[in-house]
Amino acid sequence: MSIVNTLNPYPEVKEYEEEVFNFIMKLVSFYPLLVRIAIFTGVLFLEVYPILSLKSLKPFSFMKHEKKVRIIEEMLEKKPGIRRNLARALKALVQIALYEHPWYMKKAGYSWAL
Amino acid sequence: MGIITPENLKDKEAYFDILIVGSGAGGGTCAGFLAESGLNVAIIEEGDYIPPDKLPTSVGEAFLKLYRNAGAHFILGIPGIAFAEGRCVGGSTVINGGMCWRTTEKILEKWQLEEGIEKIEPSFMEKYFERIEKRINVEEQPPHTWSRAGIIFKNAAESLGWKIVTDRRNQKGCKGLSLCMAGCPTGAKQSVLHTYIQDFLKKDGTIFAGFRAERIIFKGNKAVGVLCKGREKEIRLKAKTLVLACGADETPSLLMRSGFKSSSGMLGKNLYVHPNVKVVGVFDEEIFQWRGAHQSHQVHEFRDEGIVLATAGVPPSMIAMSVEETGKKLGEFMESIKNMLFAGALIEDTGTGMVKNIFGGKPVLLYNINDNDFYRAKRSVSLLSKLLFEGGAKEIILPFRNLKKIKSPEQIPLIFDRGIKKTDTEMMTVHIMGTARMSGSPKRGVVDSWGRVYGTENVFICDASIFPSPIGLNPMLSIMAFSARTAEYIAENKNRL
Repeated sequence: MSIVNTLNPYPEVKEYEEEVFNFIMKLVSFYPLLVRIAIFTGVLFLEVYPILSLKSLKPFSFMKHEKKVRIIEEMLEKKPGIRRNLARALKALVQIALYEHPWYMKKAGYSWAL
Repeated sequence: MGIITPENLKDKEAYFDILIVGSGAGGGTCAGFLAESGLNVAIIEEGDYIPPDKLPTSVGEAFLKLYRNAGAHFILGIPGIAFAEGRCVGGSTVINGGMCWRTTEKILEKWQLEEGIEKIEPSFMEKYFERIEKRINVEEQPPHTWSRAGIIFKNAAESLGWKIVTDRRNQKGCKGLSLCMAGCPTGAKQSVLHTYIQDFLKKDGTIFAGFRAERIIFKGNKAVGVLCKGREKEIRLKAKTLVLACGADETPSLLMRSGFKSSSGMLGKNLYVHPNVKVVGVFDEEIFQWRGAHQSHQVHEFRDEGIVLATAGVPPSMIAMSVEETGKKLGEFMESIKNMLFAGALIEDTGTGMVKNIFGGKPVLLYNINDNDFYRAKRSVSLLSKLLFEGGAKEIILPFRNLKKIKSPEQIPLIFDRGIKKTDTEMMTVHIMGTARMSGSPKRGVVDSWGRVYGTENVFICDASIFPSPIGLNPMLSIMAFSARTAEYIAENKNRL
């Protein structure tokens, strides 16, 4: 949930975060075992990454929102490798769930009438 | 017998004249043609049967119901390539854009000359293309369904003097919802699910939906059956003839995990992927790319270089994944989604990769893009940028980590100047082929001219894995035509198989 909250492009809209999280969990349950393990390991790594990289004394989910966003942004800026791939994978998961949510579709004017 | 699922399965064993593994462009078409021959035919499909009138209405839901691994499929290599394919009755024809191009005469002649493949001259293939096009209603995308994005794309290409063609698509009364990736909830797209599968069911065909073919049972050089599993249930299906149509990843994987070895050593090798690169143009005008057909035109000016350019109506989640912004900045960026135009290029690749089995027989795709194809990927991005600037874009979002945006045509050379590496580039694909290549010689191919696997008496392949080389265009119609040809061969030789 902390990752969903961090990557939510609309932090003022929190009421859908649980639905987004549930959709992500459902999506991940369809992924191959190796990918599920990689995501789980990646989330654990992200939790301790701020401490290991001396960026914070607190685990990721206990950090302030702005700091968490900065950590993810920095990971996305890295050269291709584990950290960048992890950040991209998490970002992709949240975006698939959020940008397919009926709330966003309505907000963006996604009506299909010709 | 109709649709048999793990939930309504009663028997542990069943016997058929012909078993087809896979129900997409290859398997579905083969089943449709064979249904007319009076043979007792069954299809085994790993995904579920979603009736045409119950297809999803959003891409998110479609990922769960229609896509392999809910859309999270990858080709490992440099760079990693995102890959999507269908896993449902109807296969990828349910989720594709529906572009229908015949295999070009140039390709057919090349395969005949270089591989010694019999009876594929354009005049011979004509009857299959004609019959299939009629059944799936292939026609030029009607102008009233073109999206604003399609029109901008067309006008810009014409203004540059580039050859642009109107897409030929399998649709009947397209409403222009741009929901092809979700399976087309209006039923306008004439996928294999809507056409050949329904023909097959009307002729009392049987579909085992929700069953994965785990292993082929061989007796000498003859396949006698397939062991299938689906949601904890198991069934042994026996047949006189076996047709594999599980796609260029799963077909070689199934043969390999069944212990089959091709004498040519080419099984699983020769993987072509048609790498795609994409750009997003940001315009001042409101485009609403999702209002109108998923795709209406392709630029064929650069076909000789192996490059095809097109727009594609994709869901907002895909656009959001294409940009580097995150958090609130992404939210602000996505405010202008109605002003964005998503376009991409298909590259007819010259390098090859392979399919290998890992962990009990799961296929993994390995592919490194070569320098020649990578140069053409960058050239494709430059051509797309030129076209979109010509169409009025004020900014182009590029697929490169270290060159994210350009704001004028003068910046296009930066695509070549900067040290953009393969690993800095985002690529994706929806076409894989070549991993059980067809050849007139068992030394060069996995299957013979009629799709029969060398070294077996009764195993045929009907999917894109038989293509000896990439075809440079959307492959659905080619897969279907070659499958129809193999189906006809099987029906004509039914007493000898």
